[in-house]
Amino acid sequence: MLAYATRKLLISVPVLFLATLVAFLLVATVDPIAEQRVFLLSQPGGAEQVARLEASLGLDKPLLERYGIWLGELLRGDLGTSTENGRAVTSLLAEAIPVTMRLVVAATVFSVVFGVAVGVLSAVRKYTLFDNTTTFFAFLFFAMPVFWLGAVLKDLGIRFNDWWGRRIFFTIGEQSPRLDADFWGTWADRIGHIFLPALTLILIQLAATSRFQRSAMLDVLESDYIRTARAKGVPQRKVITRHALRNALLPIVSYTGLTFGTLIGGTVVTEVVFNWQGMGQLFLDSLLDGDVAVTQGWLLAVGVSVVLVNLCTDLLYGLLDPRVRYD
Amino acid sequence: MQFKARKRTAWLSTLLCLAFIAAGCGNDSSNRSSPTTTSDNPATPQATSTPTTAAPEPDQDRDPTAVVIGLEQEITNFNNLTSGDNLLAGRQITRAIYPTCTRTRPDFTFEPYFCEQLPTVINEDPLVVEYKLRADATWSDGTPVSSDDLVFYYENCNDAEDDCAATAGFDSAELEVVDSKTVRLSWAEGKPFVEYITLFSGPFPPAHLGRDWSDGFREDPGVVAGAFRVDEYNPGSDLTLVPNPTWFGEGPHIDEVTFRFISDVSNLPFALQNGEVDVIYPQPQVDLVDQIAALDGVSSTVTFGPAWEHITFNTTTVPLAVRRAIALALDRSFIVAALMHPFSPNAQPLGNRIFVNGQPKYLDNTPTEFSTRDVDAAKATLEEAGWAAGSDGIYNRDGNRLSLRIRTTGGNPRREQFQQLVQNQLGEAGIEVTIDNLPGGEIFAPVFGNDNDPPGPPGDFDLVIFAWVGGPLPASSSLQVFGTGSDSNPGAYVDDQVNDLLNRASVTLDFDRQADLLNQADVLMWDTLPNVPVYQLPFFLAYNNALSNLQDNPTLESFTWNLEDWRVS
Repeated sequence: MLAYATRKLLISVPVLFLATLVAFLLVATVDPIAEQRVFLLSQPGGAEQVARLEASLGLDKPLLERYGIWLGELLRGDLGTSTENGRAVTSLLAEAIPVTMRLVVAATVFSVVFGVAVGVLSAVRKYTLFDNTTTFFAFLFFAMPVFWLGAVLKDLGIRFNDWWGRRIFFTIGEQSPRLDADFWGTWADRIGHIFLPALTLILIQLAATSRFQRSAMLDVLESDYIRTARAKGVPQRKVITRHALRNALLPIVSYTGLTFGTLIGGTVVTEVVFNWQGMGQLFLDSLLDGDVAVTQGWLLAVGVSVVLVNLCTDLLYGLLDPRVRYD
Repeated sequence: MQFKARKRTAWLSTLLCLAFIAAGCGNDSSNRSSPTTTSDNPATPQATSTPTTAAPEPDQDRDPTAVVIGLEQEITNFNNLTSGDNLLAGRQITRAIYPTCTRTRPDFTFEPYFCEQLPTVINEDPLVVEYKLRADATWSDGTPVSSDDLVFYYENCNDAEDDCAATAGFDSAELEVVDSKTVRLSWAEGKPFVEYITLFSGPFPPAHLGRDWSDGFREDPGVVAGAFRVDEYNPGSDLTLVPNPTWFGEGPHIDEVTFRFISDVSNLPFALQNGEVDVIYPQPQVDLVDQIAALDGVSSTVTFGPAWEHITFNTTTVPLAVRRAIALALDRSFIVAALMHPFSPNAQPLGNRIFVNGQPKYLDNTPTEFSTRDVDAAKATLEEAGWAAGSDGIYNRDGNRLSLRIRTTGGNPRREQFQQLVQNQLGEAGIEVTIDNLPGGEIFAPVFGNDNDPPGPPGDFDLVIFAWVGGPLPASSSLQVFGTGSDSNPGAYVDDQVNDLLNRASVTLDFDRQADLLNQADVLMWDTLPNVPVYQLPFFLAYNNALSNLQDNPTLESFTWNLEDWRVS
């Protein structure tokens, strides 16, 4: 297992390096002083000012040299400064990542748990009303744009609040500003805020996860060893939980890692729809403001997190399936 | 077996609970943003400082009241007067915490605010005006609001190169300090600044802290003079104001005003409907207005403000006869009905290019001939000028087809619709119109010219649609827009009589006389047609019915102009 883990870790190093290169190059070709350039060049002596500005930002250097400098600063933990508010990109990321992680954790855990449950039941009760219904809704949610589903859930949440006579679900922010509540009140407020955005992501993820799990489960249920177990008189419940499910769960581990990037994409949109000040809003603001350093930092953070999640997935897979680590 | 099943269920439940707890964990959003600035302003002044007037004691018998306002923008600098940070959101917040000499009421009239009275003319020529602050106006640390603050304002705004949002008036004035509460501004003989009443009316920051004008107020300094002080600011999320105990005036009647920054406008109606915000002031869109109108317990108002859209002619390429034919062929009422009635059925065609409807001096100067559409009269006007209809109905003269280019800011759906209506209506009168837009604000470089290298000449258009923004005192701005040779006169409009009237208005201190001259100029402009005014742009305010005393203010003061008067029932 140690050799397997070491091998996976070593493979991750060049991937991470590549992630830094892609994050840098994707944005470095954008001119961060485009607006100032137009204005300054229209002024007397503007060309010298532009040259000074370029020098101060290092834009007068070749691209690869700039990448080297950026990478050097990155290794020292410096991702640069936002041109919009003058704050360190690392501190902006440090604020935004925990906010987004709340959504990502909730969406991942719930979508996997429910996705597995729905997928297994659909496979076991193939072509029944339950299977057809879950299939219908799975495709329905899968086809829905995130922003639209978010808006629909907001509307439903508000209707529920009206019906209940009390505000249970919130449509903006991570928690109420200046919340003055006891421990349980604070938690109720936070859960009321996270419920709708998390549900948006869960439903999108759940659709794919349940279909994937159903397919994996059907494959396993049709394998020889399941037939043998049944022939030996092993009870159906035990066949499903002990023999089929354990093997059918393995692909879900890989699948969850692979869809992490998709989940981050969905989170970007969801955060905007629900006005969460996380990575999504940070990304959108940096794009709209042309804030190169923040966009690079964001791309790098997401790239690294995807690599790390997939590394964890590989390691977990190796832990769960001995065949993998002995290859 | 049953035990195992229960155990599995318990594990699953625990896992789900942990997931929600983990999801709920993380930094407290109220402390999330760094720097989270909680004002260090004490609730009461320092012992050494004695406010001249004690704030009224809050009513102990009533429940605490709080209002949440959803804003699309976020404040970027607590000094809203810098050129880079002169955002509407900044104004909406800082006007509640910082002083202004006067303030503009929703009907465009002025009233003294931190000044004892409206600025007083000491001498007419050369013009000398006195600005006297209230004796009881103090900063929350006990320092009086004084001449030093006005000097700080003036010194940072008296040069066009200063980092100041509005230097007009200051840049041609000399300042004299009369006493600790009074300053005088004087202008050169024969060059009065007739809008002197508007000076010192931006919310100005305290001078005595010794901070830098441009960057010293990016964080709340904790010293205020208005009805409110900043109690908590979480950048990116929210900002909360609470009453300032050293405020000299009556009110405020609300214990907490929280501004929540909600950048996506589509979130606002949901938040209002769900009671997460109580007031919203979004850019009006028809579907948004309809959505809000359907909500119970919510009031909304549409106010037509000082920004007005028009069709400006390039007078060098569109001769007067054609301009008159266009004015006759346009159905302005139909355009207003199509574009503005979805917001409010009260919208009317604008009949003046200097004052807007709602101002006391507004007169509908539209001549009878242009008040209703008359296609036959338009065709007759063209034919009198030597144009003849071609086989396709489009007029020609000397082999030149009457084909005009109309431009506007591409991507603006309302203007593009406006443009299409103009195209259709003029087409029916035999005037061909081709649409020639550029994306966004790129249209203004060819229209107004640009200073780039090589410099671009102005006037690359025949017709152009955009908006001018009027104001309570429009004499100087009207001269810039319609005066011969002005940079802001892209259509190269020339009318000596109009020039004379506008020049006289721009040095007339009697506001009634000034308005009379301006209206005379507008009447003349209906003859020579530099443009055709069509409609004013709307503002949209929606709020919870539990709130009272809200009144939109379409001037720069915006809807928070009387925040201290708001009440919660």
